[in-house]
Amino acid sequence: MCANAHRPFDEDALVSALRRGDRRACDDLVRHYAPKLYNVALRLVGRPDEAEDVLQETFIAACEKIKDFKGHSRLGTWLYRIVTNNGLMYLRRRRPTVPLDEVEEASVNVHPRLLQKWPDDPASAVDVAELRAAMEQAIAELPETLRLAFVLRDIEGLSTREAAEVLGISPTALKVRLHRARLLLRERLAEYFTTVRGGSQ
Amino acid sequence: MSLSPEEPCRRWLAHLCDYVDGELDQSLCAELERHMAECEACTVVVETTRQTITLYRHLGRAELPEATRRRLKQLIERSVHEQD
Repeated sequence: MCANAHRPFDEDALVSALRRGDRRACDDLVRHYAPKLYNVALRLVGRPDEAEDVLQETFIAACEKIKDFKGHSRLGTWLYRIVTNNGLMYLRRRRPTVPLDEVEEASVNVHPRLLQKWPDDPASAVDVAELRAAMEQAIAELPETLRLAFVLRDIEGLSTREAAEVLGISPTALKVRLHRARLLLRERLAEYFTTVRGGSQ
Repeated sequence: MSLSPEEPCRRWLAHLCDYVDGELDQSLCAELERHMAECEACTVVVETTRQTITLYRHLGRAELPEATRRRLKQLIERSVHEQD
């Protein structure tokens, strides 16, 4: 689903209220955006306590900069960009000598190997907790650049254009990353279903 | 069964995302569907890629802990008031 598909509240009114220092606007901001931004932060840095740090920095930065928010992009897109940049800076501080894994991203073989069908409704055919654990592990092992593209586009539901804008790349580059991420995750889940269920031809 | 690393499967694999996102050009879309009718490997790749996206969309979002939400709210309220 596209992020443009619905607007649960008046974004312009929220921005105006935040600029006035309205307390209820803070509630709305956290209620609406914190779950989405937490997901991105956690997927990026990996640990809940670190994700909370990133989220705090993100909201503080957003409150400080809200007066500069021009409304050229949607508020959500602007916030996703801040949380992504903060998460990446956090990772660089944690391991300053390790470059972002763009080389790894390009060198991973994504050609599909496992070609058995999965159950029609996979989540009801296996133990959900076990499936979720396999999904968590698969996404955690993706190179960061691919993981971010997948999280923003397929889990958060941003459009290709919005996700590309958040990451500061072209829509074409976003599609390349998304393609690789989807194929790698598909392969890992195929391994899981093949192991657990023996697949079904 | 294996997916050929050669044409035509390789060509269709490059269009996978546009196809599952419903963004593939209509004539290419019809051509791909004709190919899939004859190629079980490509059909499985398309279907399981769709299932992968659906699974992550439904089960892949990490839940915000309540304590984290409460601390954030307090932090932002303080931050906004300090700017007054």
